[in-house]
Amino acid sequence: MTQVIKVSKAGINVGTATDPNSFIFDSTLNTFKIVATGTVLGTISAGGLGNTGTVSTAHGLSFIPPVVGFIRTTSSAGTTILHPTAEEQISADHIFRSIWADGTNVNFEIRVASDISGTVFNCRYYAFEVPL
Amino acid sequence: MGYKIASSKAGVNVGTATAPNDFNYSSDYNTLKYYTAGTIRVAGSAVFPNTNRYFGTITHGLGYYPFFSFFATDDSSATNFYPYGFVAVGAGGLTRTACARMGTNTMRFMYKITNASSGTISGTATFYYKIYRNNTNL
Repeated sequence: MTQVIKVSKAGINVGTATDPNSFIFDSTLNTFKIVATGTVLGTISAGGLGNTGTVSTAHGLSFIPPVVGFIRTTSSAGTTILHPTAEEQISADHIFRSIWADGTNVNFEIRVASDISGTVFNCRYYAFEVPL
Repeated sequence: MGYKIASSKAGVNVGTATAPNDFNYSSDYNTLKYYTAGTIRVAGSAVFPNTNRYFGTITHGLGYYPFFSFFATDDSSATNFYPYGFVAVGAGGLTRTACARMGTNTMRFMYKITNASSGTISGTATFYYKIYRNNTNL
């Protein structure tokens, strides 16, 4: 007999529930494990409209991981964090392109959309298991 | 000696496995912890040749920048769920953009319409968001 650990949501019978969505935790279902996380500071120098820079940091893993990342920046709209997938974020000053990982690094590509002074970007990545 | 809780995948020896991919769960690795989830719709329009931005805001009240995710749909193609937003370029130079930004207490969603075509173009983006308790420490 296989033994499992399960915690159901409030009001749900843990002994009879079968829908994965009924559980807070179920040891038979894989979880999204964060195997590495880190931060990196990047500065995109002033250079006019469309200046693009890449910020990279080593993830230290032996495989190419799936990654999610966020960038903190301050603009006239205040300080926020953004996920770099959409072409344009709220502030017209900063347009984020992408985040990706290779066998060594996690990379953030950032584009500055207006002619502003060098801007510092605080970037954080999360690397998950299940090698790509 | 440290103690931990681990549940290996079927057929894998939990006592000897070391690779994260061998486990369904291991207390050695942090996980994402749900805080709240919801849906918000943002509608807008643009008269040629304008670009207009429309916003919707929700309050999470965590006091820090949390890990978040969201999917967005454009009501013109409501069956397509795009992770972390989209930029959709349509015929005649019509562009719709959906994205979001996170603050320490609120999350704001943006729907942008660029009408390089003619007349008036209207649309609605629906955002399905999830906010986690995990602090990004940014």
